[in-house]
Amino acid sequence: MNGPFDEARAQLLEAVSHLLHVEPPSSYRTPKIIHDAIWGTCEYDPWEVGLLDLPVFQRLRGLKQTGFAYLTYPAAEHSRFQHVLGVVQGASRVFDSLRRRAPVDGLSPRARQAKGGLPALTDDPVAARYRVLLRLAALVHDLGHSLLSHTSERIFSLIAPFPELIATIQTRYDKRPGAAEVMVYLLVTSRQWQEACDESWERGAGPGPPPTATDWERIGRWVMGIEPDGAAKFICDIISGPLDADKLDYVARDSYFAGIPVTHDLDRFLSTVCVDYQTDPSSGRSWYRLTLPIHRGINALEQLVMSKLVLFSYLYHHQKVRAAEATFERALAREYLTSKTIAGLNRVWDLFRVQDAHLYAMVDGYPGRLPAADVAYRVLPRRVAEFRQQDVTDEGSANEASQVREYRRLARLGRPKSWDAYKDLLAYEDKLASTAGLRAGSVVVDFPSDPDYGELESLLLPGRTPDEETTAKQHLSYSDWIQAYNKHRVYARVFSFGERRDRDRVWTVLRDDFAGRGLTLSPRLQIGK
Amino acid sequence: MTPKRTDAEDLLALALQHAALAVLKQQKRAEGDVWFTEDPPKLHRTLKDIRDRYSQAFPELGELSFSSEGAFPYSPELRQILGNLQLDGVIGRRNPSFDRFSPNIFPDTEQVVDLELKEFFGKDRDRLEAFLHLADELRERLVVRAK
Repeated sequence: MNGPFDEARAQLLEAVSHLLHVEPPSSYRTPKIIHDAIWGTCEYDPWEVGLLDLPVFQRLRGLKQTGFAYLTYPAAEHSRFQHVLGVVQGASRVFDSLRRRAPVDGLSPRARQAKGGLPALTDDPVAARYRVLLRLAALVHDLGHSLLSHTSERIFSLIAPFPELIATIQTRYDKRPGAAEVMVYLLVTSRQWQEACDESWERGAGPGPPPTATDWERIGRWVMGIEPDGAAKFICDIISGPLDADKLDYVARDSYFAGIPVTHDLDRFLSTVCVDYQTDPSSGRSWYRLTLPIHRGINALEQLVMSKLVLFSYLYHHQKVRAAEATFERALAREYLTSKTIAGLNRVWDLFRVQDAHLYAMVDGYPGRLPAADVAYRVLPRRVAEFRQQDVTDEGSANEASQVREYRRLARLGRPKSWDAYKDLLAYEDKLASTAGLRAGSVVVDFPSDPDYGELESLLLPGRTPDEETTAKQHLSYSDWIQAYNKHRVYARVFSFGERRDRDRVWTVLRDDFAGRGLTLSPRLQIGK
Repeated sequence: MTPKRTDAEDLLALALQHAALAVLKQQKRAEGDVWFTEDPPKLHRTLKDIRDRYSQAFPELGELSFSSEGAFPYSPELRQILGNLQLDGVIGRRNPSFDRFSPNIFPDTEQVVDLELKEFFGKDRDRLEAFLHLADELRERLVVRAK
């Protein structure tokens, strides 16, 4: 992709090209063994290790995988670097399992019947090359992350040129990738990146020619979940899809490091995952997709979904984690709207050369200099109120629709998706704060979104015969759990800095504001009264 | 009145409520459940078709992307919108198999919908007419049961 991508790529490289060289360069000739807490003994090829030694990868050691979760779960300090190593393993093991089982149950009945075969799995040289590209895609897939991972992504996704690049991709592929994924695409499709990779490939005695510019274009698209070639779609699915290796790793890793005793049976998953041949009758197009068979894979799918749901309940939606993330997000938004800087950085591209430690450095000796950095030191607001829609509207009242409308207006305010929306949200929060006699930025209103299960709904599960298929939603009642979780466990919260008496004043102001909207904040919804 | 700034979530919320009210009116009922299918292939195919045909009148529908690389077009944004509408009390999914959703219809829903129609479209008759067609299509193609 050219046009705006060329200009963006040039700007990115200006900021990060120094991260693509290391002196002296690595000179591994044999595979390297690395022990991982989740996957055990893992092997990495010499050219992969050469890439891992580049500062652009080493930077990932300093990015926390679960953002501010470490403020609540002190052991959740695991890094993007660890996760990336795990995704390489997960992706390889899925691919190897499919190859090993292709003649038996690695292919669904429909895939076995499809004409033309599947050389990406069954032709040894073709499969070996795909395996190399797959592992490289897994290796690079998170290079687009920055401060505290997804927390800063919500902000930089709104900064030019990301909105334009994402819109261009949507026009071409009808898909909206995340800004961090677009950043990876820009990086790996650059000449400088490919030169760095070529050097690592040569030193590591990679088999055959190094990945070409076309290969990197493809890898960049896989990271964004795009693969127009139906015969290779399942490979893209391993990197970015309903059952991708990313999910396999982070569900296991996040729970393990946070100390939350849930897990899923990776062995079971690997022994049942398969490739199915699917067609869209409306377009006549067909794809080979990564999926699970109804009769054997449902337990693996069930475990994966349940584990993720528990992680939402314990970790991602934990009130302190939400307080930290929402406060950090507001601080970054306020800073950008005021000064056009992000955590003190002048260009959006500078985000891709720093680590989380950048925030700590900003605090050092300058308390209060950068509110976004204070969060990293656990300077957090505390809960004032916690509620769900059904808690603040009166069931059966004559004006229930008006109440729901007002609640929704607030919730929309609390889920900003544009700079105008951020301005509206900050104005509302600051109005609450000033009415309570507090300074701007003291009140944070948080309306989390429901757990995101990506494209799980689009997963078609093949059966024992070519004609048998179902959607995951029809066969497994996972949507019951998610929807029940939404209804009962997703809380909106209002947080405030200050002392107990300050929070009491915010409560009073909030209660009056809600009353003006026809909503009732009953005393039981006040926290710590 | 200046039309209000809307996005795809606002538009779909209003269209679903409008469609549900139309069904209840047909049945001469003031309230009740009007179930829309949540079967992923049917729901996502229908909304993709609607996005493609109505995006000129409603550019905000362009927020919905539909991955064309699968057995049916799938929109993560649509899934997120339905999740948010449930969290905010606009739709309910209190049915045994959770394969359907129903806009929550309250005694004053009609007044609220009328108010929002005015806010959204002001005096723009063309956009209002396009909206009414869109809501009709949702009703015809997605409503599976009303009781």
